[in-house]
Amino acid sequence: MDSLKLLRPILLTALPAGLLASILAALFQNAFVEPLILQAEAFEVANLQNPNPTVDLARLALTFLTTLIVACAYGLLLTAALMFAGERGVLQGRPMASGLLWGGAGFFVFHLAPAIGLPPELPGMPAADLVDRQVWWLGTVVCSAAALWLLFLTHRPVLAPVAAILLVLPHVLGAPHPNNLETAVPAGLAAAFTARAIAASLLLWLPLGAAVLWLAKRNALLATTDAG
Amino acid sequence: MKSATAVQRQSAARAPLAAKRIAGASLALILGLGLLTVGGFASGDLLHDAAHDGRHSFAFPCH
Repeated sequence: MDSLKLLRPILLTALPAGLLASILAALFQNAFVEPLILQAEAFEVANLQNPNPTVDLARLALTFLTTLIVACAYGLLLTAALMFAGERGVLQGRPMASGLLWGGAGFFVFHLAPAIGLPPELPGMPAADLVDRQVWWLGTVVCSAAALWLLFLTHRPVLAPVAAILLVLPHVLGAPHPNNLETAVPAGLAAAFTARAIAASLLLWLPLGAAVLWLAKRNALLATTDAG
Repeated sequence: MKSATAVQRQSAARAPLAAKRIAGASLALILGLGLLTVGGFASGDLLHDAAHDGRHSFAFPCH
């Protein structure tokens, strides 16, 4: 199997990049995001008996592990996208700029576009049905990714209107929201959390884009003409 | 200037490499989707609780 021969260089691209990207994001989450989650839990009705939830090392370790898993997943998806694009996904002689652009695209697709309809929210915030939200999230990610691909990786201006429709469609349809938005979580806390969570995602994606692109070139994953 | 045969030979060599790259990309895509499902979406109390804070931070629909 030809594709299995590529498994090793794929893993050696996506996983180290994921590890690198998760470190900065996890440190930021630990310092700026996690404290807000703990504060919000104190406002959750179910936790009123325990108004000061403590953070233990196991919880921090699990959050770091989650960040690592998600970063490696994004690393694999970005490696896949870069391989589909091949050399046309790299600006001539500007690998770092290309990597940051790919990272920015990933941030837009997986975080910024979904956040327009479903902003990052604290535990205890009212939310619509879970499956409805997951379907909308996934649909938005797929539409946004397809739109960026059509805009930047096909050289067919005729497809630009299709891309524009894909970009706005999820937001015109609208994300699922609950009827009652009342919550005990203070608005300021929720706003700070949303801003910081989005910042954490950007801190994950920019280094991830740069690292995946650098490693993908090094591991000859983008070449169509090289032997091997 | 390259002869027609040389050009043909070159593009013939390029085609399987491109196919191999696409096959590899598909493999990476499947692995990435699998890992994203585990980290961001899989239900089950143990997985959910372990990934809880991370999921909120990355704004995966949670709860």
